[in-house]
Amino acid sequence: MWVIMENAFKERMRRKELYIVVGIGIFILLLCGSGTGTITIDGEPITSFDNMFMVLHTMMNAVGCILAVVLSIRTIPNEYERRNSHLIWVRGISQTTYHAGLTLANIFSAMMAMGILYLALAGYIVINSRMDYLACMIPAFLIVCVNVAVASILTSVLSIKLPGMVAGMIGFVVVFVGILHGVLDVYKNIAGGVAGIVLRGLLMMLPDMNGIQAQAQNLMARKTVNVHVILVGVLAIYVISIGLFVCKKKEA
Amino acid sequence: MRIVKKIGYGIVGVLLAASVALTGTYGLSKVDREVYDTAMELEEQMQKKGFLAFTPSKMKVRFFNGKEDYVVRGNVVTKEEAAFDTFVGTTSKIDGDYQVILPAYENFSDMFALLDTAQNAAEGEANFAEDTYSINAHVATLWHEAFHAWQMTNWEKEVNEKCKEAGLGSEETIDEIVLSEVDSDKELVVLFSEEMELLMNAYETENQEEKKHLVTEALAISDKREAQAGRKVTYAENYLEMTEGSARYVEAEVYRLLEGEMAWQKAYLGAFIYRNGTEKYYTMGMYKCLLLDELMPEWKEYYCVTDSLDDYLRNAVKE
Repeated sequence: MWVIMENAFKERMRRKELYIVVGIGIFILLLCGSGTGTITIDGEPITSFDNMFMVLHTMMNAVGCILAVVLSIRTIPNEYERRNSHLIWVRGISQTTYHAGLTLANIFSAMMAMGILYLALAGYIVINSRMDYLACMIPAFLIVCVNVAVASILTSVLSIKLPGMVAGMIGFVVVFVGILHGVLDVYKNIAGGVAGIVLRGLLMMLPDMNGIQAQAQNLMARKTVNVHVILVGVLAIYVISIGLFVCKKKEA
Repeated sequence: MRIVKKIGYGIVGVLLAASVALTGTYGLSKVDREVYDTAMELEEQMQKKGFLAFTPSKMKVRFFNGKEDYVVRGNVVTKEEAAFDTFVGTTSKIDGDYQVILPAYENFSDMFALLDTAQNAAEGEANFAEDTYSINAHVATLWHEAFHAWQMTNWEKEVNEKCKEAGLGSEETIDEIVLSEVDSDKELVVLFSEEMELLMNAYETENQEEKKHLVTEALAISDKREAQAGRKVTYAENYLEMTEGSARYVEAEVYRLLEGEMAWQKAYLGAFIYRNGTEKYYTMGMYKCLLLDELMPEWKEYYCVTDSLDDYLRNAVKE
């Protein structure tokens, strides 16, 4: 499995696909981050480090999760289209091991993309001389990686059975709901009827991705970290990973 | 080997699920406990201000967390099925008693932040509201709803009889009456605003004679409004001023105790802008209560929901 993962990961590096996608991500971040003078929090323009950092971190999490979906959509379908899978079957490797290796490669690629975004954030911290934030960057990064892993593993597992486009769409919906979990959580109790019921179901099943990134921020700002929210994300990864055992391609 | 791997995988899952269960928060949140305790600690101070028979500590307070209600009275907390499956601050008769129903603080705070942010966006401003609703504001809301519970506990029958007498049905009908009969009548809108301005000026002035004069003028406009609007509308307006205005007054007094004069003035005595709906009667009723405090401090001893605050004021300014 590790060899499959390593090869898939190396291929990503060779094809520069990762860097292009991350480049687009950083471009989006810069685009969103500019002109913040007109954005305010409680009436105060976002110029202070704390507010600016909060906005950047939240956006970075969103961009990172979207990148995770984008990077994971095509990996497994491409392998089957190129008939690489046949080379694996003849070696007697099971589908589960094969898919797990490719999924891990997706997760590591997505983590790497997030890592590059995090480096950009580290630059922002250094420019503002907030070394206190820098000290907890690695554990904070690992917390945010839970979100990335959820988005990536879900898209990967879905892409085994569903067409890439459909798997990607579902992945984006999950990321959208996860990022807006807090807002939708409030809305679900205002909304009644079918919309309210559907929303409740979705929110119950999907991890609070914004809550998870908020814990990473809390850690860096030396505030209390809600471990429960992070563990729910890890549990979601575990539950989705069961799909690797269940979902099989007919071709094999 | 495969079985060992599967067992290992299963054990990881069980451990993860157990960790999630163990780290979750259950029961009444610390913030809601704080809200309840702070509210009850104010009871003695609030009783000194009047409404001697009004004791929120005897009522059950339900905090709705989005799933179920945590019902608090004193140190006893029980988990019960949600009375309303939505975030609302209100009072309702449950098991024969009027109980206070409030959303859990965090939910209510988030909801206000969301609504304010949405309102800012609608006004073309990219302003994310975060701290728009404080814990003390929630304590004040608890008192507001507890006051309604007290009103309904003591005068439910009288209110229902008077509503029937005036040809009114549910509270929804009152909202509809205000929208269709008052807000759509330009003359009534102008008169309401004039009355409100006079009441605010009366409260601001420190000269007692001037104060009485301004209140008398305001009452004259109120009479004009009554003559123009008719009996049903007048009853609806008086009812709103009395029930909601006095509840807003109690809420504001609690906020004043907790946050001090400056914050109280900023939150409750700002400039008046006429808006459609019933909210304006909360403000008008509150000003009338504040004026009664200055002109006839014993008014709370005679308080009855089916009375009119205007009648109290008439007695207060009588020579």
